[in-house]
Amino acid sequence: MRKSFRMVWGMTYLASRWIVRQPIWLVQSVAITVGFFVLLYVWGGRAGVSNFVVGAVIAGMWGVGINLVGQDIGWYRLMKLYDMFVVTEMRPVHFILGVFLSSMIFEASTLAAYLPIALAFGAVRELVAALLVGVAELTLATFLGLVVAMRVSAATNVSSVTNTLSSILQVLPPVFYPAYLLPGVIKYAVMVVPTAAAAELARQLSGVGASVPLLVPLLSLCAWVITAFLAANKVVKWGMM
Amino acid sequence: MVREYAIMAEGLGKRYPNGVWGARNVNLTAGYGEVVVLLGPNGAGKTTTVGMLTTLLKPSKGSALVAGHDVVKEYVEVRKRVALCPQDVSIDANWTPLEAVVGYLMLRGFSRGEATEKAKYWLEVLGLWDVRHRLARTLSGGQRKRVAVAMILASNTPILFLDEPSVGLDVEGKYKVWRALRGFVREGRCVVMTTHDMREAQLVADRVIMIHKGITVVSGTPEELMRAIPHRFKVIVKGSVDGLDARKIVRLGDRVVIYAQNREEALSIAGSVTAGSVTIDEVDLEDVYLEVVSGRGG
Repeated sequence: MRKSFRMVWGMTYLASRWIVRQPIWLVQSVAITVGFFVLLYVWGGRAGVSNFVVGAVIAGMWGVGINLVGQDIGWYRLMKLYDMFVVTEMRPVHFILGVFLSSMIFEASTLAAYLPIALAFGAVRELVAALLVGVAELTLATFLGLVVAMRVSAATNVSSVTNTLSSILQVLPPVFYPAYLLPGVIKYAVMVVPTAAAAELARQLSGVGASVPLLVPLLSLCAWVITAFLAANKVVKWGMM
Repeated sequence: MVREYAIMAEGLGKRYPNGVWGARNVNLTAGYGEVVVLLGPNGAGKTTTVGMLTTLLKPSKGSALVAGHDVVKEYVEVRKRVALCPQDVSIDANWTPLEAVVGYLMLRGFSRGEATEKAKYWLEVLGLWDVRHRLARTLSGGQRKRVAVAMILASNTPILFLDEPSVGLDVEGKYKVWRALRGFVREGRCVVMTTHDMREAQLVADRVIMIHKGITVVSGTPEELMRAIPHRFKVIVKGSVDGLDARKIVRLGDRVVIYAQNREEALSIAGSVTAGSVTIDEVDLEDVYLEVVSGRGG
């Protein structure tokens, strides 16, 4: 147990060096979060803040999972450090958990930004619900990030794929806005998008409102987690190729 | 002194998904207390062989025991006992040498204290202690390579694999790495490395294994290999030479290398050269390599 902890911590230590060395990324991350808050508050008042809190958590978890974990692994493949890590006692779970924990520095920094906002505007229920749903979202995003990192043959192209997936699924679907604003059947169709399903679930759990029956986003998210897990399990190779 | 085999591989082969054989029939042994060098031209199968022995690649044929464990059935046990410095490895630009070694050791299960102690020792041995707090992006390519070597040396595993460790190192850096590797095997450990540098092989290897087109073609100590070819000396003539067609010669533009079976013959050849300068050398691994490769259509 102690050895496993050291392996995870060792990986976290190495994977967090770039964030420690370039804290300006954290500033960017916090600035974007605050920017979204201002935007939604100005247009939507208190209701805007509710949607901001849900959106910030869900989008943040999605970005960390798919972008940072995928990119880190892509870099390690490129630098051949991945091979070095495989030829150790470390198991994939230690490696992934280590990289994942290092990425949580980003989540912690944005949390530091939206926690006071949630407290100040009485949006704590939204925050708690979003964080709960966010765990599933983060898990699925991490699995998908792994799939991309392992499937894209040119490791230099991993970032371009994960960045695109990260941005599009954070901003386009109803993450920072409720799905009921979409017309007719579209609000159902959009629930196949994992970030939209997660945001809808968080809104319903916090009592902000429902756009579709609870089962729809719940099933969608479950299906995504299972599919992403199976896909990751299939493509992630830890040596013996 | 070799005590027992650290590695035994028989008929090892790897066919990639595109149908290309990276290695066809590699046979090798490596003992504790020795440095074994894999030599061969580009695409010979050296890196593929290292990949199979370190469990990165699953062999398509043959078998191998590393530290007494089967590389396929017991790959987890193998990984506990080996460390790999891959070809073209590059440490993260945001790591310092100290962080790289300490972090690598921690992910191998060492405590922070143990890791720091070992890192200090090996960074000193490899001449990196003075730059331990500098970011890798400010280090030279050779220094970064030495950091990677320090990472695996510090891991304390009984068997090390280094894929072309001296590429990109200056002379001083090479000697530091070679000294460290020789010191490592003196403690009864085993080092397997690949190289194109014949001089490196001659200086560092206890045994050399030549691989050509995925097949082990010859192995032995550098001295044994050099005795196995029919020539002992070579005469290097800077200028053109005529009338030597019956001899083993290699033409290099305006220079000619003429092989001789003994010193007397070499002196006789040198004496017959009327124009240009002449040097007489003993044959070395490069000549063995050329003999082996050219004898097999390389």
